[in-house]
Amino acid sequence: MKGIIFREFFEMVDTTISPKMTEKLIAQCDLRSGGAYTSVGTYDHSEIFALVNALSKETGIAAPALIKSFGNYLFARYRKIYPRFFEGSTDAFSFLEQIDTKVHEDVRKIHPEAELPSLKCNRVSTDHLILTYQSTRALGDLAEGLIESTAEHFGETIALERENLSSCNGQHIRFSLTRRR
Amino acid sequence: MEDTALSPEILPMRFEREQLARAEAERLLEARSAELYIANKQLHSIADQLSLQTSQLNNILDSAMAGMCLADPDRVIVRTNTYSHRVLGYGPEELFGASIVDIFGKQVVNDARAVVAQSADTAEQVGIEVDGIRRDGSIVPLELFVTEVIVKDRRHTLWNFQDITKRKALAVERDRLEEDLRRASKLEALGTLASGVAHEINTPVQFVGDNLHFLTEAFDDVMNIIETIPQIQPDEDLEFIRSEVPKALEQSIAGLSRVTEIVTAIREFSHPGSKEKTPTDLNKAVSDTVTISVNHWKYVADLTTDLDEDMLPVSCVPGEINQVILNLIVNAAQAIKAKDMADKGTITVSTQMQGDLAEIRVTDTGTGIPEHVQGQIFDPFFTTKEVGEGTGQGLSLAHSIIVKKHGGNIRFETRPGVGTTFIVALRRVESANLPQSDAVCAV
Repeated sequence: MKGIIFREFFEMVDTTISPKMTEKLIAQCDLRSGGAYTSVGTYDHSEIFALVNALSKETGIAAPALIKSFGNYLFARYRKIYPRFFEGSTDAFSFLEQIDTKVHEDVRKIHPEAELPSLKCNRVSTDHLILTYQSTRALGDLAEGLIESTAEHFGETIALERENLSSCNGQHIRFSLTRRR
Repeated sequence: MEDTALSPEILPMRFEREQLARAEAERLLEARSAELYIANKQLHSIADQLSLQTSQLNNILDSAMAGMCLADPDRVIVRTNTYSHRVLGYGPEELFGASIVDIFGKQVVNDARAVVAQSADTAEQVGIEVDGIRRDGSIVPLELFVTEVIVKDRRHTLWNFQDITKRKALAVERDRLEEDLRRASKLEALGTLASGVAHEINTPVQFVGDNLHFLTEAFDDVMNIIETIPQIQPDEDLEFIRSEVPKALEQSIAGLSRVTEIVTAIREFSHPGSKEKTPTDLNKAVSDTVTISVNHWKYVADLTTDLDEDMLPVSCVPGEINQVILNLIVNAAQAIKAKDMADKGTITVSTQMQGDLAEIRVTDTGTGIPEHVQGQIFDPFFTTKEVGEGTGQGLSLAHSIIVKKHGGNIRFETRPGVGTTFIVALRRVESANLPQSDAVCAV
C-alpha cells in the first residue's frame, strides 16, 4: 500500500482527534516501518489495519465505520491534491466510470508497482449504475466512503446498496447506485 | 476534540520519522532514477535496432526486383516499394491510400481470394498472369502472387508481382523461331524428296523422249513407203494422218521437253551444292527458280523474264542466290495477291550487267510498300502478313545472304498502290564490299 494512504490517515487522526493520538497509535502498533512513511513508498497494508484497529480500541468506534470515514476524508484530499482526476466529469456516475481507466492508468504511470483495486462499472440505465469492487486488501468500506463523498461532491442524492460477493468481507463487493432526482 | 497542535514532546518523534521517511524517499528516488536510466538506455537501443531494421527493410523492399503492395482488410494499400511505383507509373507517395482494385481491377481482386486459399492449402506459391492498370490507364502484363499476412491480428494481403512484358515478347519470338525451324525442316525434307523424285522421273522421261524422236523419224519413213505403193490411193483419212500425226509427235516432244526442264530445275535447286563461291550463271539461276516457283505465281500473275545475253558469270554460292531470287518472286506474287485485282498482275525478272556489277531485278504490280514500314522490311521477323502466312524471314534472309555473305547490295523502289522493284547487285569478282543502301526510292 502506498505511503500516501498512511500519511493521510495520520493527518486525519491529527486533525480530527489529536497528534497525541497519532503518536499513541504508532507506539501501540508494532509497525515494521516504525510509522515513517514517505508518500511514494510502498508498505505492508496490514499496518493500516493495525492502526485502524488501534484507533477503534481508543475511540470505541467500529473499525468499518472508521475506514468508511477515512474514505470520506480521502475523497476531499484527492480533490485537493489531484484536481486533474476530476476534470471532464459532470456527474457522479461519469466520474466513477472512468476511475479504473483514466485515474488508475495515470497512477500507474508514476507508480507502476501500485496494486490498485478493480472498479468495474455497468450502467444499467441513466440513473442506475452497478459498480463492482474487487481487491485483496478488503477495503470495501473505504470504497463505500469514497462513493458517498463522490455523490456529495456532485450534489447528487444516490441510494447505495451493498452486496458482498465473497466470503471474505470487503474483498469483492457489488455496489448498486440509484440516482434520485 | 483534543488539541491538534504539535506539542514539544511529539515534535522530536515526528522529526525523526520525517527524516526516516525522507531518507526512504531519497533512496526510492535514486532507485527510480537508476531504473529510468536503464529503461531509457534500453529504449534507445531498441529504437536504434528498430531504426536499423526499418532501414534494412526499406532498402530490401526498394531493391527488390518485384513489386510489393500490402493491402489492409479494406483493400487499401498501406505499403509499397520502388518497383511498384516504377512499373505502375505512380509517384512514391501516390499509391498509399489507393485501393488495390485500382491496380488490378475488381475481377482479379476477387479471383485473388481463390489464389490465396490455394496457396494456403498447398503451401506453394501460385502465380497468375494478369493485366495491371498503370496510373495513365494503360495496361502492363504482370505475373502476380497473392498471400495473406496477419498484421496486428488483421488479415492483410501481400500483392507480389513482376512485369512480364519482355518475357511475353521473348515467348512470341521463340514461337516464331520454332515455326521457322519447322518450316525450314519441312522445306529441307521436301527438297530431298523433290530431288529424289526428279532423279527417278529423269530416266523414264529420257527413254520416252528417245522413243518419240524415233517415232517421228519412223513415221516419215512409213509415209514415204506408203506413197510408193500404187495400190494405196490418197484419201482424206490418209491426208489427215499425214498432217496430224507429226503435229501430235511434235507437241509430245515439246511437252516432254518442258517436263525435262522442270525436273532439271528441281534437281538444280534442291541440290545442296557447294557452300563455296563459284562462278555462276545468274540467268540460269533465274530461269531455274522461275520454273520451280511457278505454283506460287501462275494463278495471280504473268511472269516474264528479260535476261541480259551478255551476262557474265558471278562469283557466288549458287544455292543461296537461288534462295534469294525465290524469296523475291514469292514476295512479288504475294504482293499482287494482296492487291486483290480482277485481272492477273505481272512479275518481271530481269538481269543486267552494269559495269562490274551484275543486277537482278524483280518487279511486281502489287500493293507496294507503305511508307511507315519501309524502314523495317529487312528486319528479322518483321512481317505484314497474318499469323501462319509468313514468319518475316524471307527478306531478312535475302539481305543477310546478299549483303553479309556476298558483299553485295539489295534495295527496293516502291510506289504504294502501284508496285515494287527489288534490285540485287553482286560484284562479279571478289573485292571490297559494295556500299550498303537499302534506302527506299519512291519512283
